[in-house]
Amino acid sequence: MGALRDLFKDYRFAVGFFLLSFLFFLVIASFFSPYDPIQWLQVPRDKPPSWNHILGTNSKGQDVFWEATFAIRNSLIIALIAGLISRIIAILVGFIAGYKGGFTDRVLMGITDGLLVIPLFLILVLVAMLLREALTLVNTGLLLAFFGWAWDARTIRSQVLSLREREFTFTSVLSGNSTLSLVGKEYLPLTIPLIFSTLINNIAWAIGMEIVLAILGLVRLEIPTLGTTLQWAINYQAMLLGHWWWILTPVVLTILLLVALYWFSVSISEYLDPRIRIQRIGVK
Amino acid sequence: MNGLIKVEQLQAFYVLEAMGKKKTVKAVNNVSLNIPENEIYGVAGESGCGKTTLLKALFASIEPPLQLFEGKVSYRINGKFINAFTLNDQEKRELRWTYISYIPQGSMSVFNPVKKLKVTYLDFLESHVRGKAGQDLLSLARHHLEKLGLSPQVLEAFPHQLSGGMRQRVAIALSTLLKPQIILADEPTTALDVVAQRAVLQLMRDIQQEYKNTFVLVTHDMGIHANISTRMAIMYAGKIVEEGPTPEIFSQPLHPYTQFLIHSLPRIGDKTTRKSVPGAPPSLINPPPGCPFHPRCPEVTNLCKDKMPALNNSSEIHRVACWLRRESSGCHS
Amino acid sequence: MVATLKAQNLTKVYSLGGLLSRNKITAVDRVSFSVQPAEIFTLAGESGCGKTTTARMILGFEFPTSGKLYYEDQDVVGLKDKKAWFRKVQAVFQNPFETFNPLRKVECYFYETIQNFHLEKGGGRTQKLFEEKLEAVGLSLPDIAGKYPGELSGGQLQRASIARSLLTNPSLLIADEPVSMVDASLRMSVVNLFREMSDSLRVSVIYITHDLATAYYISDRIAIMFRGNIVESGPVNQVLEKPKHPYTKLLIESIPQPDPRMQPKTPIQFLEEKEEYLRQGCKFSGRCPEVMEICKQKVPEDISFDDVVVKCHLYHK
Repeated sequence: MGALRDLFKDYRFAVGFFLLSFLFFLVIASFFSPYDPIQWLQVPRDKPPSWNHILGTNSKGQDVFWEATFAIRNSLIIALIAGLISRIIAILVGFIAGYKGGFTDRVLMGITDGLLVIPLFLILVLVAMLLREALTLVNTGLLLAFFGWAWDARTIRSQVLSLREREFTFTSVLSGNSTLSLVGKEYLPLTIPLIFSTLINNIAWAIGMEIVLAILGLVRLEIPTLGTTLQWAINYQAMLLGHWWWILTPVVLTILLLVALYWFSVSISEYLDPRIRIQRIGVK
Repeated sequence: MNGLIKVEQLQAFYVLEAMGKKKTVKAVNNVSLNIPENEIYGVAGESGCGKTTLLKALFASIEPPLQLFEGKVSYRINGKFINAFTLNDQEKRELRWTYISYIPQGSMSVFNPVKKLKVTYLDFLESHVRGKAGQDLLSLARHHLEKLGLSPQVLEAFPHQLSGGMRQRVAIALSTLLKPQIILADEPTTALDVVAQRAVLQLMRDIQQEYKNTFVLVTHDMGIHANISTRMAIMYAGKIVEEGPTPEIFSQPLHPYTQFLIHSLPRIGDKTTRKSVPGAPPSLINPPPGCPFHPRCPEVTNLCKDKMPALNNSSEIHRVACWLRRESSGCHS
Repeated sequence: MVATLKAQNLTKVYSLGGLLSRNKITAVDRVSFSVQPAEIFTLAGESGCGKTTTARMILGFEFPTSGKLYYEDQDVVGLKDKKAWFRKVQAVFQNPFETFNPLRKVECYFYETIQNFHLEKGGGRTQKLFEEKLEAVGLSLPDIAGKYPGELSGGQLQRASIARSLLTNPSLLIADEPVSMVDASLRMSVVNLFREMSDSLRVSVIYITHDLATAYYISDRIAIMFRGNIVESGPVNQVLEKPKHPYTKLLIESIPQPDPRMQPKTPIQFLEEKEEYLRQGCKFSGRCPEVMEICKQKVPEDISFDDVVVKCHLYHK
């Protein structure tokens, strides 16, 4: 497609895309892992990288490389659930509040502001402590989604507020369109760059939060995620003992993942920006 | 020739790059002009014809994506002509506001909305006038405003407390504070209604008559030009197609485009049908070959499609760029 | 002849500041006028005089604080069925580049209008109807088909906007500054279109503008608005050639005539918009060259002279 070709000319997209593909490839690899992700003592402990174990083994007796594939997969699952569900809520709240205005707007924004004002970190920690055993991947995702929609709902709402005053809104009303179809056909295309970039930001945030919760020991530590593998490595003094392969793996992978996400999002939202798109249309 | 600014074969284009595709917008395409002293020099033409770019070039403010391809702009300072593009930033800064001033489009929005006007004025004066303290500078500003018939009280106001017309006049006063010899005004009355517009034009005329400086007034509104411009240039697709004293341009427009522009203006008291120019304004990325007006010209010939006519003298003071108006029509001496 | 539209004492009041503020601005103050079938009626005035607010009330985008609006003798204030209303009344706006969503093809709006109002009776006529209206405004199908707004000129977009508004065969078209953002070289052809529509299609047009020259050129009757009031109204020849209200005279004098031989006259004063809105008595008294004591205290009544109605104490004898 012409669009993809154009996107690849931006180095950020190219690098982001390749990094993400690489990480995605690792996720696929996790389904072919010869080792069980949860069992301990499957291989000799604390061995540095070798041909048998590309990234060495950890103090629990697990292959670091294969654990990492599960870690990425699980972290991404949590982050995707969090990101997608919080988008849906943010879009619904943002569009309805922005377009309807009046009382509906005030009520919805009251709820949103309430969530924004809560000291997020404390509440998250509290809830996580209470729910610890119930925090499966999906539940962690849902928990993060619950706290992740408020800010973006406001952002989307302010975008809708300004779109409402533009003349094509009136043209659409005069063309007989109902509110729902107007908002969907007119506003959604123009807000997609915004929604997309907030999605990626949200995913990055969720990955970060998960790591934080894991380091604090508030999730189910036997499920390998980027956060939990890091937590185990710290717990077993990997740094002090010189087992660099164990601690560096989650760190480097997280950095790669976040940088890739950021560049991917920035290049795509610039590409989708209506002004640049219009310039392109004019070139013929 | 008592010209203040000389423009010679100026070519200034915008080079845009979007997603790997390069576009060159030929905004000012081989323009040669002489801006005289003590005149209100009008530049007319529709949106997208290159007039704003011409002003930027006159102000020596050529910054990416605008690039200078050819030609030069020379200022006459102390009797000598100096190429404006060879000046460094420091020299340009010294000339700006004291020799040449620029009032951009929509400058009624140029004031910081959270500061009183006098703070903006003070900022401006302090960076340009050496050796005077705040109070002295403010009284300089007040004196200037009074002289122009504006109440010095406006300095105490916030921008939003004044109407658009008032803000525009205050912006004009600010730009003429240091008595520059040339003032470039880009569509100074666009967002204003007819009554506010009249006041702004009045102010400009008063300033010109008082200080005997030169205004270069860019606007698409022919009515404004008829009102205050003493000499005019008509721009089309980045080129000057006609130039001359305003009364002559209006009473005897030579270029077919100018003729259309003038005859299409409605006036009160006259209900005869008016026609506009057929076709659509040309693209500056791919301007038509030869004369840029030829696709819309009712008198087009084959020569017009091929070659661009030069801006020739139809008479000493009235020039036109059209193959069909080459020889002097013998009506002015 | 039943008037197509009749406004009676239409009023819109906005309160300034927050919920508890007492400052009110009467953006539209007891405005009354009527528009006859197939006539072009101009609402003229400076920016901020209330003409756009009036248009929005007619279209139903704002609710009047008080007053009545009749469409062919039927009360239409607070009409619930907006769609039925838009069959009869349509609008064209000022900015042709914003009229259509830059990310959507222009033709989408046409097809939507045809679909939503069930305008095509029986299959296959949709494209014919589209083409018909395009031709009525001087455009052809290849000009518009498949194009985005960024690919068309201001003049073409404005014509397309007019064509779309004609799809429902409305009897009233509201045109809010339709040519102020169209290039000078294309302006008159769009203005001429309105004249044609009113003559051949029998559509009434409410033409909103601050440009009295084009208003003179195409309208039949005109109303001059100042800070929410209609200060003078009547047949366009009379109002613009022999103005009675001092404000009308000021407006006409201020138009920069495209004739270098005519130079304007006396310098004029300015007063702040909000101050004038909150003024007691006649709102123009602050800058009226012919102001009298009574003007500052009492709001003038409407006085009729044949067809012209003026709101001014000068004529109160």
